[in-house]
Amino acid sequence: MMQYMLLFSRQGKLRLQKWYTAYPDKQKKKICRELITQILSRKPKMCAFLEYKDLKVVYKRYASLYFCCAIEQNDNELITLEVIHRYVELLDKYFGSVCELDIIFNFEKAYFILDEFLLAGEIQETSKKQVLKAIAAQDLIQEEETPQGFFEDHGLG
Amino acid sequence: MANAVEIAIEKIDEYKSRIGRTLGTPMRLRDLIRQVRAARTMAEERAVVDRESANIRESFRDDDSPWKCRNIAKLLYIHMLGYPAHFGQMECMKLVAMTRFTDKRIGYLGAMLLLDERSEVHLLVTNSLKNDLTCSTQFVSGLALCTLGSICSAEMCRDLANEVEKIIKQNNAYLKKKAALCAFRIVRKVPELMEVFISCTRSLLGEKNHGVLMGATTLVTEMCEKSPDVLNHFKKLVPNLVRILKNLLMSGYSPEHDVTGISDPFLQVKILRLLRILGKDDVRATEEMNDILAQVATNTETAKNVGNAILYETVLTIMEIKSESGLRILAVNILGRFLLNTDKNIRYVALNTLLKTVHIDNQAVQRHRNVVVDCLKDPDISIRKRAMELCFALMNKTNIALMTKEVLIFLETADAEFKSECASKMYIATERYSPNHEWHLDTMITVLRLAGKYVPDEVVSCMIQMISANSELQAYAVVQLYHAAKKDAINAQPLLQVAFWTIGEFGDLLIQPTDADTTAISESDVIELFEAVLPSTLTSLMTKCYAVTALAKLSTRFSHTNSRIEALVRINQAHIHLELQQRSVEFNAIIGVGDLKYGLLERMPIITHNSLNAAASSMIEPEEITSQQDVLIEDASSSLDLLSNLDLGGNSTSIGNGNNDLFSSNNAVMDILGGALNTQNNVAPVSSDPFDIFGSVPVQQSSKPSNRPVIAINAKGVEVQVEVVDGWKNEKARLKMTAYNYTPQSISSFNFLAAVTKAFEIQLEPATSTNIPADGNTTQFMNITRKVPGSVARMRTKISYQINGEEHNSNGEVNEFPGFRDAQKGMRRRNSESTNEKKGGKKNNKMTRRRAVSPENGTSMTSNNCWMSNEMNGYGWKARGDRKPKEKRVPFNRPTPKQVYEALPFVRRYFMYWMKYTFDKEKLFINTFQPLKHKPFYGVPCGGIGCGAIGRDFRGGFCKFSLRPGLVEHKVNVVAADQFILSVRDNNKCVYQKVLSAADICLPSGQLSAWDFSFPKKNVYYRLVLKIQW
Repeated sequence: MMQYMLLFSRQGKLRLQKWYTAYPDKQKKKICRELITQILSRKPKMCAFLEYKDLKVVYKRYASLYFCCAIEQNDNELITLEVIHRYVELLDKYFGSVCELDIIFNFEKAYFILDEFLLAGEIQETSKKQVLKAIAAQDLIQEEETPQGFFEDHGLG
Repeated sequence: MANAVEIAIEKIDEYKSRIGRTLGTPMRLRDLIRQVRAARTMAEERAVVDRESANIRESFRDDDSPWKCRNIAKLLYIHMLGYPAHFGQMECMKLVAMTRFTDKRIGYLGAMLLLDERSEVHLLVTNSLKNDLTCSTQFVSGLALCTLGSICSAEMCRDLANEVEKIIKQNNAYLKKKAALCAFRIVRKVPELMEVFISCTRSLLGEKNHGVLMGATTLVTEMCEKSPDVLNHFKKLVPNLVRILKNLLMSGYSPEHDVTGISDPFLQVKILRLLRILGKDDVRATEEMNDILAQVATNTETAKNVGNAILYETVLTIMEIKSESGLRILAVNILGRFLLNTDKNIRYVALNTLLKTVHIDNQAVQRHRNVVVDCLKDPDISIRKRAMELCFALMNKTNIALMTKEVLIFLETADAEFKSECASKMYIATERYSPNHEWHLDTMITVLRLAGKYVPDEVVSCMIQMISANSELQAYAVVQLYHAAKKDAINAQPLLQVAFWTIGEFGDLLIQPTDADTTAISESDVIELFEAVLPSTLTSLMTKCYAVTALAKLSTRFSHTNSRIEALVRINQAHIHLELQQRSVEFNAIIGVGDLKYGLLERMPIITHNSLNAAASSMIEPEEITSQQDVLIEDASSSLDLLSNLDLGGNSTSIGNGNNDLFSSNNAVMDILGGALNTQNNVAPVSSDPFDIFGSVPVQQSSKPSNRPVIAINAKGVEVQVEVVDGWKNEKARLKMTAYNYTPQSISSFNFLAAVTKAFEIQLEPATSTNIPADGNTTQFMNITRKVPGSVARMRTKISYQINGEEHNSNGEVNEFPGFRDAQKGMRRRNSESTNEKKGGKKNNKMTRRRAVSPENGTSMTSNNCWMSNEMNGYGWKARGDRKPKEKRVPFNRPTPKQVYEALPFVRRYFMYWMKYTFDKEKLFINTFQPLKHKPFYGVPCGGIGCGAIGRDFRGGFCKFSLRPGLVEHKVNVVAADQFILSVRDNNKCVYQKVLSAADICLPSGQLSAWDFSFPKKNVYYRLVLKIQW
């Protein structure tokens, strides 16, 4: 089971965080800080796994974004790399060639996609099409019920 | 063109937003993000966030605000930046309670991010979730399930488990898959709730939808891991799972679930993992899945990471379920192929897995040894680390030579963090698997050289222990280490430490010519090494300490270079590091002591863990000695080696001689010894020796069963002991001389001469040998005839011998033989080597042999005795502790009449002064009317006359101290609590303790009760030496 997932930029800015296990706020911040520095200091020729406390951390870099998952000892690291890749594919399909700015400005969408793909730290849907279909349907509901005024749009903006 | 249009739209949008904000609309999320991103410094960013936080907080007060959703979204962004956002928790719950989908969507997102299991609003969350789980819109239920999966506490699990179970039973795949994972989460959190889901899980596995299958597999896996009963229940699912897996493998291309040509790897991995749990320790289940595992292992495409992920999971399953051996070899081969993969991640996984499986099937892993060894050169540090661990796991007797070569190449270029670990592991591996000691030593020398300063201290001590324990290795070791140290003088401190220890111990072996073809090492070569290393600032303190000790030892093993050695030992006498300084000073003193150093600096005994304890036990447990006596009587040969281990056992060879009639009064001793021995010579001259404190150790007294050998000569490392074999029988006695060679060289042409007084005649039998090897001995018997009955036997002895062609002579004298009762009468305190000297010598010898080599122990015993014998005979006022002063007069108390008359004016003045002070109840500086009563036993104050300070009396007590001039702290009597206490410890156990004072001390009961004041007065000798100027 995945314990948490972090997305952060090459500058060390956190872009997304998803915690599937409860940690106190202080510890969450500490984990983020430590993992970000540790991963950013790793050289490109190093492998994508590292051991952090009693967890295995799998990370992968896509452009300027690092995707980083903490999994348990008996989980499969290689398939976790595939999970990361699948999530990136989903984002890519949804935003249309995704870039870091898309995730910054539409972080809630990134969360929604993640929640359709993973649940409780496990893979929920292995079909890309199904995930995107669910997201599109929900976006449609949201759009329909949001009134549009000229000076005030009631959406998130 | 398109760009310009976009910029224009953006501009319009911005103005629109500004106008909107002036009309009361809160800032849009994207504007906030823009502002934050535009901030150049952290302070600016903080200002933006703080302002917006305040706005959001403000707007939360207004319950009916239509902008709540937007505000929460902004708050979530602020939260991600790391700023406080907890005040939004309640608002999230309010949003969730709204009817609009957008509100619920953002509200649940906020709940997932802002709440965790400990939040207080959980009751609210539970209620909202309960409502939404039953909602008719599947997406709302979906949101609720998703939230439940993220933040469910134990109470929530209990409250909502039934709702989740209902959803699983519904016919909606979208909700089913989510509910299954929620159930997984609930089971993980609260395992008792498992029962709720067991019934509905089986049907889930029959579904076609992959999402549902994923959820079901995950749930079953979790339940099986949690409960063995459920595991058994689900064992019958194995065929189902095998079928699903088979379908995945066989089905053609399905675009929906395909990942680079492999159909749904995620599901495959999940099923393989479940199979692993189901098949563990179950033969039937294992048989059922063997086929499909082989199929997966052979048919999976390995070009991409996905395929390898599946293979990896398959290998784990095969290794775990104890499948058939062919399959297992297949699995290990897959890992072997992984090792050759270009992808570093796969190599890492392979090494990790091999490390886990190496204990299951070592043979199979061995076949990939070469690949593993190659991984030592990998650019990735984590892979190198795993490879190193695996290399050590793979090492065995047959491959150690090959593996070591590779590991050493690795060690040469390894990072610092590896070197230390690698060195320790190399030691363990070589110790276990080395073909021979030479190879072991050579390898370890190379390791020490390559790992340099990173070698941990334990390795150094293990090396030393190894060299110490293998006597056949020592000569080889010392030469190899010498050459290694010479080559790499400064870079490898631990190597130098081992080398110095070995050179110090076995320096004599180093300079012995070994082979004709190797160039001989001369003494000065060795000293040059020390001269290069010891003064260098690059040498560590620890190494210097080793070096100084080694030099001290070499001073007894080398003959031509002593002045250079002494100079080297001396250079650190003022070193800032205390330990080094102390070693330097002490060893310098020991080297200068002369003959004593041979005993003190002789070779260490073999270092094993228990050696010290074994040697010490005899002193503490005399009962054991007596039991061993029986054995000794049977084996009454001159097994002195054995006897000397018995410490106090003395020599049992006299047992059964004709002294029965003379010693029948020793009942007390015999009682203690249980009457096992009826002929014992209790000759312990306890009362006669001032320093024979050991004599009054009760243990020793009681266990003195027979004649002790006396030491006639102990000089330059050669000790001659004489013992009485047969006491006087028809005025004839038989004695045995044993000469021990404690020098590292062998002795040749040993000749022992003995002369007795005119009342006796002596005949020497030929010695067993005239050559004594190092640490060996020779014996010679003597017969003495007494011509004048009652005469006391005294003997002068002389030995001459050659060491390396050099002539040596030593003299000695024996004035008392423990075997002759007559000897007790007189001649007790003659100068020269009396019994206590012999005892001291013997003790000393024991000390060094037992390696309690604190120089104090060694030197104080012997040199104090020497000191006594010399110092007590010099000038000065001498007194024994039981002396009674002849003068009855108390000094200063009886003035003459004239003195009284002359003192009258002073007396008057003093009387007034005395009155004043007494009236004021103040203390007088000198109170003549109540003078201190002087006692006739004072010595001279330490520190000089007139200095005040401390005075001692001749019985050993401290008295008369006035430390601060002008302040009278003048004690007339002995200060009870100011004492030297002698403690004799053996192996940390105190065997003897006494206050070193014979002064009369009366203490109220209870005070200082633990101190033993019973030092015998007549054993105290005092000699007062006044300087000429006085």
